[in-house]
Amino acid sequence: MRTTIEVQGARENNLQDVSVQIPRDKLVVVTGVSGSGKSSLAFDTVYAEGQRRLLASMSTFAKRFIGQLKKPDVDFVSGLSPVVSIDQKTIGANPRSTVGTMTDISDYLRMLFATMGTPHCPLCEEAIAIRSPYQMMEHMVSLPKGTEVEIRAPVYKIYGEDYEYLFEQIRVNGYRRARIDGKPVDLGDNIELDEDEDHAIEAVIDTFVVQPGIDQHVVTSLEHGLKLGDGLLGFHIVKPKRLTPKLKAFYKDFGCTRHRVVAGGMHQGQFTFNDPAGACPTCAGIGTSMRVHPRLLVPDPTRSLNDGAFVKAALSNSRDSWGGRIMHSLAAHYGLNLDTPFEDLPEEHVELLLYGTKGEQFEVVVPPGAKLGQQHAGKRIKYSGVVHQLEHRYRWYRKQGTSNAGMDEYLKKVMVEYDCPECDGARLKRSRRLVTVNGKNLYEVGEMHLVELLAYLGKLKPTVRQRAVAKTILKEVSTRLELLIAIGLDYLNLNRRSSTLSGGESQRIRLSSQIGSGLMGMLYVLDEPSIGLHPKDNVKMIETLGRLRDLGNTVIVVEHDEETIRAADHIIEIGPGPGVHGGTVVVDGPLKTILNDKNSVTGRYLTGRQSIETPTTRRPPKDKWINVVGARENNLKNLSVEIPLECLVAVTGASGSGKSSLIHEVLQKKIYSLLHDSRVLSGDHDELTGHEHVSDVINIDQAPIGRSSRSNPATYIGFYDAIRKLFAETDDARQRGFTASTFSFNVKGGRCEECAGEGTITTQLSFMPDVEVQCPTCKGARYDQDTLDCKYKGKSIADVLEMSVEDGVAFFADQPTIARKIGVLDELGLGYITLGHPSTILSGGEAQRVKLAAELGKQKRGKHNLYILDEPTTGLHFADIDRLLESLNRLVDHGHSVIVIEHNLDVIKTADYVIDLGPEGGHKGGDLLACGTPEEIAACKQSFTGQYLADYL
Amino acid sequence: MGNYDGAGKLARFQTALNRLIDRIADDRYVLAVVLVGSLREETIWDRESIGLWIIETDGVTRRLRSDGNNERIFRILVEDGINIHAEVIPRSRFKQIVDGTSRTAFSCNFFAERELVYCDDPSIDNWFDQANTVAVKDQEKELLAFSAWTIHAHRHARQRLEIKGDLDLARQEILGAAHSVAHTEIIRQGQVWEEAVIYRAIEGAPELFQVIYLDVLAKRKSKKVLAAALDAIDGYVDSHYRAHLKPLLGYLKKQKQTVPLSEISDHFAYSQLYPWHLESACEWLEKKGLLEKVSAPFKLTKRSREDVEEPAYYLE
Repeated sequence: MRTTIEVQGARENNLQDVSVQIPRDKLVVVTGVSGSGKSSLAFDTVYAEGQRRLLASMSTFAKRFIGQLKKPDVDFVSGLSPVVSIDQKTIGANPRSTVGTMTDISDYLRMLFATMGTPHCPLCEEAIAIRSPYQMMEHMVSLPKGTEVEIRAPVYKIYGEDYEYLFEQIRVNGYRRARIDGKPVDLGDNIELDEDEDHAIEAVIDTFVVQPGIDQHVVTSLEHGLKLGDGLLGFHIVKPKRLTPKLKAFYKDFGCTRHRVVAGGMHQGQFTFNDPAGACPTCAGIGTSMRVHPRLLVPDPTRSLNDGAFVKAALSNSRDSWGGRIMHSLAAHYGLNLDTPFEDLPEEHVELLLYGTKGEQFEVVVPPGAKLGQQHAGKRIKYSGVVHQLEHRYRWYRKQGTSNAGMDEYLKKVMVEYDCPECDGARLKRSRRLVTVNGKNLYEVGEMHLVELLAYLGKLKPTVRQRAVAKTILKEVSTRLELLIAIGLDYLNLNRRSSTLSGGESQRIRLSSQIGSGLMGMLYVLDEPSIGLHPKDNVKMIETLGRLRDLGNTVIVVEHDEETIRAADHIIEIGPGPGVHGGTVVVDGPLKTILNDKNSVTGRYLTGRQSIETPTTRRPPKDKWINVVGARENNLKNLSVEIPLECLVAVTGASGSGKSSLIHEVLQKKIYSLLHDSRVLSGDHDELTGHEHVSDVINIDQAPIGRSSRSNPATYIGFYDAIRKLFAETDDARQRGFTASTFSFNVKGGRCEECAGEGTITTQLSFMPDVEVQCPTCKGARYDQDTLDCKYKGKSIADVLEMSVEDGVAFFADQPTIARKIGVLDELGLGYITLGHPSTILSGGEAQRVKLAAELGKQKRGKHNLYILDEPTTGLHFADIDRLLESLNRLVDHGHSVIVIEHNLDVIKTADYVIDLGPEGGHKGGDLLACGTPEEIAACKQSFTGQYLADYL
Repeated sequence: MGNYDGAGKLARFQTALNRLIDRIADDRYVLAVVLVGSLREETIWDRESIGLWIIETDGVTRRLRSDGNNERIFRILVEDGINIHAEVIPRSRFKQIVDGTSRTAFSCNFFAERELVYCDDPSIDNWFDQANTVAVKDQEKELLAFSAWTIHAHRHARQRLEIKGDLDLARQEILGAAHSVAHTEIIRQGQVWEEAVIYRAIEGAPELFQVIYLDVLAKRKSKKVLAAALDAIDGYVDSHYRAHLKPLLGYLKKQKQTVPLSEISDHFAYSQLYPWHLESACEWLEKKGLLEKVSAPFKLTKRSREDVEEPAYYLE
């Protein structure tokens, strides 16, 4: 039996005909400096080939429904198994995705509630029995012949709608009779009800006279009724009026004794907020509703109404629009000054614009110079205000029940989310929230932290009838929960939205699902699982990887983390340098081999022969501080913290401890709203002072810098314009009358029109992968021959795009502006990428460094910028971290402030100041544990970071 | 009439119906049979077939290729050489169209002219009784719909007459408006409007219909006659608008703000009212001075960023 995966002649990206044997059923770490080709080997070769072969084994019919994969540039790979990749991509912003849905635990819990749930009467909350429509029918037909039974469904108002709307809905569903507080009514009549009072409304579903042969239509009628009653129906004997003991016995053990309500059989679909059968009708299962935030309506309060202070979609200022007429009419009637900046308008006028005239009428005045709307002049109207109108429109839109991307986008601009007023964020219908298992409803169960949830499930005692199903469900859920807890995610709860999870958290969730699957013989390829993990949690992650291996799987991890490398059974180092300097196997073997290899950069750092130096002196905090007072966003516990400026500050703490909430949600958003856009709403806090010391706040994240293959570092940083100008100034170009735009591959003029400046032509084949071939006209150069004939220092524009950053530094040495910007890229360790490297294939870490380079290149932007970097060491080897730290320190030396959210102890130990949050994640976090120099943190006994940091100092 | 034997024809039809019911009585999947239109000696001369609704148990519908995608199923049967046109309706759908309020539902008080000729399900019997009581809201909506038609036709007729001087087409429009008035009158009396509406309406309000219908039909076409008819229709609408346009006025009153026509139309979406009915009614009320007509921004497509404007109305 094969014990290795054999790769021969891998040439994907920068790999230089790599051949390597990867041991099977082991934990294998692929490491090397950034850009050396680790991912090209692990993902683009091993994973891609495994995946391609798996899909190739499917029928042509099946292939039509799945994406086709390109064959990697490799001679041969043998010994592959079915392969699963677990990357760090965060889950999309779909508000319906939660931890529960991601892990499938919600699906199991839905089944658990459908199996073991106890429904309750909506009126008195008494526990009631469950009966299927057939059982209900059998119970009914057991009554004496001639007995008349009325079947009613309890119905409720939708939040924000009146009773009339509810009655209309009942009629639309095909029911005309109802009972309001027990009294029969015809919904075809005009019914006046006090909207402020709660009324018990029951729609009359059907009336049956008991007699033989009614079975089938009783059942059909009950099934229809259960839909309207959301699984609940009331049975009432209406004839004879006087109940004999036999008739009285009908109600015994049949639903709620007081209100005669019976619950229909439950199925799992009724407990999902993604199905109208279970979703709260007000929020459609999202759990949130929207309301207008006045601040979002006026992006720039220094503008006057005539200058378009309001967002155009909310209230247009055009003379010919309805909005323009309203504004001029209000101005004429109430003395509103349309040329005063919005921020200087008196409060009563702002109130008038936002919340209307409160019933008062005024005359329509057509703005001077308006071409349209003359016919409205002189009419008297009321105005309900921008806020009321938008909210009214939102409710109307929601009632349509269809999604509309344009409307969603527009509403999101002016409205903010808050808990749904009907379900309070529970997402489920009232009747579903009334179903409990051991006293808790599904939402309450989802709110429990995973440890608490596991204990709760352990206490459940299914009845004999439920046992067979419940046992399976409980086993599945418990196994998944145990895995999530073991992997350090005990602080999460199932209701947590996926969009709020970090990349590391979502990767670990997917990892736990894989372990939960219990498969063996699989090949798992993981991308830096240590990212986002506190050293304490990293230990758990390594244990998990070991567990995955022990199940009989091969685990290949692309990783820079020292602990993970040390825990590996086998290590492959790709290098020695990045890009063209890499792409070969430097060394592979067990840890010992790496440590003893002189050529291994990893070995040098692991043995301490080379290391990131701890600074001998640290910058003492000056008198400039930012004070955040009373931060309560997410799990922050009324936290107050002082952050020194003009220093390198590291914010540390366990995953989920509140670092991002503090720095991104509160600090960054607040400063951004104060400096740039008041519409940006910061996280919950009392006060933030000291922002006057900051000229700008810049977040340098790992999001891709462009989605188009036409974007590259040269265009992103902006020095490509200067290069094009250089080419336009050459004699050849002048003679031909070329301008800078001739040298752009984005516009017609100088680009190759065969491929429209792409350099490649993609042909789509129906059930085979898309084929991308080099453009036969320009041969991949992207430009036409005339343009390529124009040379600058002997190189064409296409040659420049193919030039590596490090070559570019020398080539443009006499052009200071270009050289400085390219030089920054080189200093950040990106010397290996080409100037025309498509942004779409940059890794997250590379993209972050390109952004950082763009910032470092713009030294004039502000004197005291505050830079925020979230885990900048992602994807960086020890050697690259050293270079990154140099750049960050350079920013601080230039008078800027840098805040890094980081787990990497090498970075933390070099910081001037450390803010440690914790102690744990989620509800156990959100406190300030310690702050001060790394030495002070190391001395703090409560700080987990301090305990690990002590070893590095 | 020649040799026409009305009584004999009625008897043959009745026998055919009875035979069919006898057959159906043995079918446990057929719950009820409703005769559509009456079998009477006065009206039988016009009949060529019998119209029935056959109510079947749920879940047993037999569909043929010729039914296509139509939810409704029609069958043509025969007894004693008399063709029987039957619509076969499942019980639950029947319940929905009896009690519901959608454009596919029957109009108000529809069952008054129907006869339950066979019933094996007492609940259906019960529905029949209940359905014969007029749903006030349905009646109000139907009044609104026919009043809107009256207003619409009247407006066009007035323009034809006064601007173009086109007596022929003006007369045609006036007759259309008169038919709508006739429907309104019948509905006001709590009756079903499907048969011989104009004759029944003339009986109820002879003076009004003399001017707006009989004179227009019988007298020589003249501007004077037509103008008199238009004035009478105007007067009729004017004197009844509070009752006839009640659902619309009630809705606008409740809104307490300017309401775009699209929202008004959406509010009445599941009734028998279409946007053009509502537009006609709103325009008339605006001319009357009861509504203010302004405009409201409207986005034409899902992705439109620019607004056009739609009529919006405000009730003082």
